[in-house]
Amino acid sequence: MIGRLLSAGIRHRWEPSLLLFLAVSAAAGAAAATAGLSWRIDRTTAANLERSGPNLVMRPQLEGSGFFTLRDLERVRSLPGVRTAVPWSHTGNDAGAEILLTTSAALDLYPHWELTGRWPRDPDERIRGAATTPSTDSVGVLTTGERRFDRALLQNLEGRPDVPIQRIEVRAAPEMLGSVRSSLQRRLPGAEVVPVARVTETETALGHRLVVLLGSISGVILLLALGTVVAAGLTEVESRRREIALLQSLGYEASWIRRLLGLELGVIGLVATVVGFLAGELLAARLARDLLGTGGWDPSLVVGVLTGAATLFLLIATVLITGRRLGRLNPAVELKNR
Amino acid sequence: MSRPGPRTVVEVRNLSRSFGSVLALDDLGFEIHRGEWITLQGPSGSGKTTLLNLLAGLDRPTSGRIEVDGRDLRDLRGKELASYRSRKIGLIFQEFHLVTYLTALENVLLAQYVHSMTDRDQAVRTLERVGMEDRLDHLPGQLSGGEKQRVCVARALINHPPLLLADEPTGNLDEANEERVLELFEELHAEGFTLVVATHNRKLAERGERILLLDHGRLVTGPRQERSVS
Repeated sequence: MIGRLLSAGIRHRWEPSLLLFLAVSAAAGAAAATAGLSWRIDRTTAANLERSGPNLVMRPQLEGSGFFTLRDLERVRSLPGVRTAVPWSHTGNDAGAEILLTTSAALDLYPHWELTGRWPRDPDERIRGAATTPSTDSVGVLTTGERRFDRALLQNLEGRPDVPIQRIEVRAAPEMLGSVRSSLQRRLPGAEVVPVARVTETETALGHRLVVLLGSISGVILLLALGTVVAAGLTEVESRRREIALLQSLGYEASWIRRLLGLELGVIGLVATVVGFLAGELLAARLARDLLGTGGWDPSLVVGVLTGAATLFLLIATVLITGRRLGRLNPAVELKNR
Repeated sequence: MSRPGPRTVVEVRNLSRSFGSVLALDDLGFEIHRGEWITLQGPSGSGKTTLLNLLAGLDRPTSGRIEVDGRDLRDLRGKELASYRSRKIGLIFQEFHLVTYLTALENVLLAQYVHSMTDRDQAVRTLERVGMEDRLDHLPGQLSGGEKQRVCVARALINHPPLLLADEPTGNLDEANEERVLELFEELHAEGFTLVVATHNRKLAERGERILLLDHGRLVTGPRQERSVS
């Protein structure tokens, strides 16, 4: 009976049902678009910031051994929150070019570096910076856009415990930067760990601004959606005053009628949320593609949950408000002969 | 004050209902016995519908009391009041008030479902009884006025309420359908249902055993405020 009441009722009152559907869809779509765009901006920003290189630099203190070893490097890499750790060693010059030793992890730390050829494998192999004089013994050419590296010769430090490491560049998860720094100082007592201010400040400022901006937009959209959905819910109750009064006269309790209306709202709301979520995700993908040059169809579970939570909040608020209106309905007045 | 006898279904004492400064019912007192057919008569605005609403538990008196089967309706709230409406009262309206998107059968089942169950066979039998066996799956929009009223009667009967309240049941019917509904009411009366019928229809009023005549909210006829119709 309930199923029949729901399906036939929604079909019969298609106009207010459609209004409600559109209001919830719009709300869900707006929530999904905002959350989806926010998620994409966050992801793109994080990816962009990754390209900024290290956010921590480790140097041995003068009163200590004066250098790090490969074992120290392994201890750094094994620390939670450390994404990349790259060792650097300067061993001299060759024909005016600085000879630097590092590992292939440098290409992960600086994703914009372009290597033509391959990374050196043997100790005597090397690659040359793009601004050095061409030579036949290099196995690759590295273009970094940075004067120092483009004029250097790079050799592989991997598997060479005899080479002292003079600096370790670390890319840590931005949200764990402080704890990673403390842990590094505890694990390697002779080390000085310094945040790269340019990178960390950018991350903090960008993250904060994004949260404020998108939070404000979401708040305004949710308020507008709440007004629209509640208005649609009240219109639905108004259009059914006599039917509700009839149910009361037949002996249905107000709580049962509220549940019935809530169920109807839930069915319409569920379909509308799915439709709104898909539409919002499409919009977010389109905006991300146009504004950020990234993205595409890539729905996120987090965005889905956020959209569901937002529409659930709207529907509960609507049920509570329409329920109050229902409580004031007088069946004797509604069923009076006209 | 005398206690209601075992045959008394409804006892009304000092009943008044006002809407703002308008006194719709003024100090009514009467009893209705089990199996009686009471007709409420009076001009428009005399308080007939207000009295029916109070008896149905759809409205509350300003003062006085109504007891149905020994329970004072003033004491009923929420669940109890809903239970009273579903178990004790069958309502028949002039405007039928059928749910437009449910079939005749489903409208009857809707009244039954208030008890969290439906018995399709019983609903079909009830509709057969009012001569609607060929219209079970018709929507109200596909039914004539008389047919709608018969569905309304079937809906009122489905839970076997001891008290049937009808407000101008023939008000929207043509003569042929009016006659059919009159016959139906006579059958119900013969079966022992207690009927309270508000009507302007003389033929319908004359079928009742007693008339309660209202004028400006007061019972106006006879030393016991009632008039027997032979």
